[in-house]
Amino acid sequence: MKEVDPRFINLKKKVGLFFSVALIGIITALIFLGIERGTFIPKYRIYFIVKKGTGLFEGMPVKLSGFKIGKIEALSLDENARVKVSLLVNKKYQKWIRQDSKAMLTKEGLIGESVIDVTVGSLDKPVIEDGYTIHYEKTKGLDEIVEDVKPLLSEIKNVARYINDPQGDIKQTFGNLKTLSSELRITRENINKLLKNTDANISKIASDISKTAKDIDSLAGNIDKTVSDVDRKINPVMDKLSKTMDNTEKATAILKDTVEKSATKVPTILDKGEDALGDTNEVVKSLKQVWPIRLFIEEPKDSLLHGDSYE
Amino acid sequence: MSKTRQQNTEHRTQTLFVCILCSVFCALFIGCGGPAVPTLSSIRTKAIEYNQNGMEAAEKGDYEKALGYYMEALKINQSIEHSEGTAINLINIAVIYQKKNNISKAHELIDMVFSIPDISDNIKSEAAFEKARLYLKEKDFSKTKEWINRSLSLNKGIREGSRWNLMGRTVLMEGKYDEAIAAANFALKLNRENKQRIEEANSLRLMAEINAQKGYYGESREFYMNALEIDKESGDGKKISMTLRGLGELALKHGHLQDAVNFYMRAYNVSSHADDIEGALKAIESLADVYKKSGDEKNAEEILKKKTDLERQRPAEAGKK
Repeated sequence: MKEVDPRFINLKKKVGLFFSVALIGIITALIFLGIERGTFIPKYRIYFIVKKGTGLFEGMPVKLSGFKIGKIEALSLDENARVKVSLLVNKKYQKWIRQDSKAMLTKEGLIGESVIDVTVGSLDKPVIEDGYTIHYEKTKGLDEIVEDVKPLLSEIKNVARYINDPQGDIKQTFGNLKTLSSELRITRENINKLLKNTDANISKIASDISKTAKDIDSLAGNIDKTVSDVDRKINPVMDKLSKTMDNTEKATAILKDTVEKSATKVPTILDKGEDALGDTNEVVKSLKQVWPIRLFIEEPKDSLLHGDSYE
Repeated sequence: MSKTRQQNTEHRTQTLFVCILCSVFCALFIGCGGPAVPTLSSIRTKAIEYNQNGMEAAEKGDYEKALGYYMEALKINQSIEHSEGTAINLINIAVIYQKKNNISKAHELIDMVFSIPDISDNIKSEAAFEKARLYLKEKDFSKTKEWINRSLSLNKGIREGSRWNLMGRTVLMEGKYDEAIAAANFALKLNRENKQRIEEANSLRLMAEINAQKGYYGESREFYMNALEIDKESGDGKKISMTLRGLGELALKHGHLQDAVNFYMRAYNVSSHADDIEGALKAIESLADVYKKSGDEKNAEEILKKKTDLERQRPAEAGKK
């Protein structure tokens, strides 16, 4: 008689059942994960061609009206050494991408993530089919904006230099005004001398002239004071303006340098950050769907602003 | 023999353990395999987010910001023909317009709610209540009562007490004290049952007001004090100031001038710190009256100077009646 340990009765069936259940579980999990990651969502490919592939990378998000509709699938060089960019786009957004749609490389914010922005096409144009090419429109980058601003800054600096130039028209004008005021003083002295020699009979006229002379004197004094005041005040201002311009130019150069250095790193960091956030989001979303957790999660809804009966 | 029995017992225990494990596993598997919870689309989630932001801004008293958020939420809901979301945000915008004293615009928005098909009676009831509040502001008492009754017929729910409070206020304005007391008592009972603390305070304030008009000083003061306690508990500066002004008015009516000054001063302090310019202005006007009545012209003049300063700060819409 063959003695069998009762624990091993139907062992094969039990092991078989265990593996089957595990296998079903794994397949189900993979299907759910695939659905969650959009693997089963139908997609199609469209292309655009650019001269340089700077700033473009595989996996870069493709957006339409701010919504992510796909990603860059691949970058390759064509026969003319231009970069052919292949976009993998969700099929359900195909109706918005038409013959006059354009692709643009833009940034979300000043130093935000770089994305490919596809414009919504006109309804009267045909829909772009799988494998077709759309136009690419170049957008201005930060470097180009800095380059545009540079001539303006040097222009302002030239104006400041021109105002501050001792041989320039403005400084010369101030000098002339100074000379005029000193000449007026001499004139006043001459009139005084003349008045001393004038006959007493014309004392009334003389007193009038004296009064006029006093006015001229006062005027000359005021002009003299004003000119020297303006001269005294304008010099430090000009110096400061000139220094500010120098500093601005230096700051712009530093800014450009910093942007150039960090610009290459920022998209990668943002991309990684977005990936991590996306993954976390997926995990949280999946967890929310898991029984029994889903039983405890309340769906968000619109709140009503209740009117008060005593307002 | 005993060894075989022991083996059998062990075998049974193990079998039971395997069965329990299998049951737990199956239960989990069945649970996981159940129907997935329907998730909101990203656009609906965005609309709800705007709605919640609007709610937060309205609670902080930033009506311009709230209006902006609600408009965005409304736009999204309209773009996807979400009737309920559209109706809720229309009501919310109407409430904000009413707070900004733009009554005609608020009427227009509520009328739009009633033209939306397939919205719940609960939302229609809220819209009708809002309509009633608008008519009360316009002092059209018959229309106010008509819309309160319409709101009650559509849905009662936990907000029924607020409808009766409004009914009480309306009949009190008409000078029907008995009807007002009946409505206020019923509202108080409903609000306590439904744990609607803010509306409970409103019921108490209404009772205090009715008693004050009937000349019952002690009862009125007690109701006001109870309302004040709830106002403080809910942290609503506007309501606290309103109750303090009520207490001030009561004290003035019964010749307690110093008490009246104290209450009005407290109301002014609360309103000015809660950025409630309208409340602060009302407190100042009442305070100036008390000073004048007590012959203190100097203090009356000084306090009126503050009024001029406050009037300059008042938003353009707030002054419109």
